[in-house]
Amino acid sequence: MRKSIVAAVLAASILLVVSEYTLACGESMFRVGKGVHYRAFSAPIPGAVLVYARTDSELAVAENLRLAGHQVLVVANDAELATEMRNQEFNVVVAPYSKREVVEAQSAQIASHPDWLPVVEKGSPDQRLALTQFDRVVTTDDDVRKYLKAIHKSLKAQGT
Amino acid sequence: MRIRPVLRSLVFYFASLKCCLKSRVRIGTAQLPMLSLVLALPALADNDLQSPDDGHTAGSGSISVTYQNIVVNEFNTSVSDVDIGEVLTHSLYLEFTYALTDRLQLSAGLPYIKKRYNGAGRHDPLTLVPPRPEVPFIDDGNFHSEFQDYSLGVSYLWIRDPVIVEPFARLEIPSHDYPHFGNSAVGQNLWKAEIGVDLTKFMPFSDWYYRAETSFTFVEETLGVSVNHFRFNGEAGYFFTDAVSAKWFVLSKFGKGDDATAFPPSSRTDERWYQHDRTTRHSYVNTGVGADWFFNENYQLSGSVMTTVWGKSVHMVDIGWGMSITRYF
Repeated sequence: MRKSIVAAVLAASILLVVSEYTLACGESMFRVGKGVHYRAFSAPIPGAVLVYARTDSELAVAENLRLAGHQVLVVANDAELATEMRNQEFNVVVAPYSKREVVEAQSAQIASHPDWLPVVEKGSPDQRLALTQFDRVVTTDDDVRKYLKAIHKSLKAQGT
Repeated sequence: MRIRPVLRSLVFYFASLKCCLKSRVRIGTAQLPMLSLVLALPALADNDLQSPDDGHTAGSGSISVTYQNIVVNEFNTSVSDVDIGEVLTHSLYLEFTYALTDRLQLSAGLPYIKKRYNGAGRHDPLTLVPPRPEVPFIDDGNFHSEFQDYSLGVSYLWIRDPVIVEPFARLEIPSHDYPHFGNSAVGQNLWKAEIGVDLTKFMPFSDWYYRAETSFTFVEETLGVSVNHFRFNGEAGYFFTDAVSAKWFVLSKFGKGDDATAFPPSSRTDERWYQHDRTTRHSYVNTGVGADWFFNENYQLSGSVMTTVWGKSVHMVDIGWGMSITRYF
């Protein structure tokens, strides 16, 4: 009998303790953000960029630079490169390191003096050489982000 | 956008809900309406629909269905977390968004919620003084289902760059006079008006993005007690590809209202007790992770899982997970 009383008191106490706090409070549903769409990389400072591109991958880089907001002109040979550099003003010229003579020759004759962003083959002797001459060098394997970053730094340095 | 496929989807959705209600469904069938809507969604895939965008082009929009499952075993008394048994919630949320202009977007939604409480803290209307037999007793250990509150919202794309800034307003109106007394109550049955701003930042040259949302909600007062509250939500996400992203998020709410300690057991028979679900502050911080996947040009599948890490006078979510499918047009 005593055991039963003790058990009943114990059960009642537990129930009392539990029920003391069982308020019905809370939300039945939570809104977890909303769908975010991928946004292509954008250029915070759009600039005029001349791109020397002949292969599909080079043309793809040029297209991505344009989609990012830059004003891009594509040339496919040395003659076009020289002509466009003389005729128009660019902030940055993206061209293979092997075209340095063409670029440098034109840069000396034009007023805008665009920065040159040399493109090299990854791991090539040109890459090591270019790195000793330029602060910013990109490789043909680089993602477009590398190009955008390098161009952005040039534009920032120019105070564009 | 063609109206007929949308109406067809809605008919599927509500027919399934009706089916669930009539058949006093088991847990698994809560997903049935979502399944039917998902099956009906391809009907929307007409060739003349516009290409998907981020909802900021006039005429674009989305239809989404979200299933959420929440398990609660503890209640925070403002002093400590105590075991209360189990509150299990299934919710199904249907939402439409539509861009009226390139900057102005409307949204409308309605959750259907099924909830069950098993534990010692049953809220029995017959224990009130005087007893209220007209109030349904919902903490009987069975699932109870209700449509909750209509949600009508408007947002405005104020600034696009460098940060997307979107002020918004949302009105929540109870869909009907559903019960609010009980651990199984699907909501507070109160009008709410929320104003806030949503900020999204895509990092330049990066696949990271950040979102922050803050808002203030005005809530209809009960017995002169205000439960107006602030919400602060944050999210950091990363795009693995242009179709797959993952995120870490925080959802929080801090508000006015009665503290849980204001209702000692001896007081639990009066009107204040009957209304306590409407007058208690429910402050919490939830955190979790989620992922989004565009498995098709127009369809996005999302999932998330979360838990409560801090709370005051609120049910502590042990685990809450959800899945949603969105069709953009």
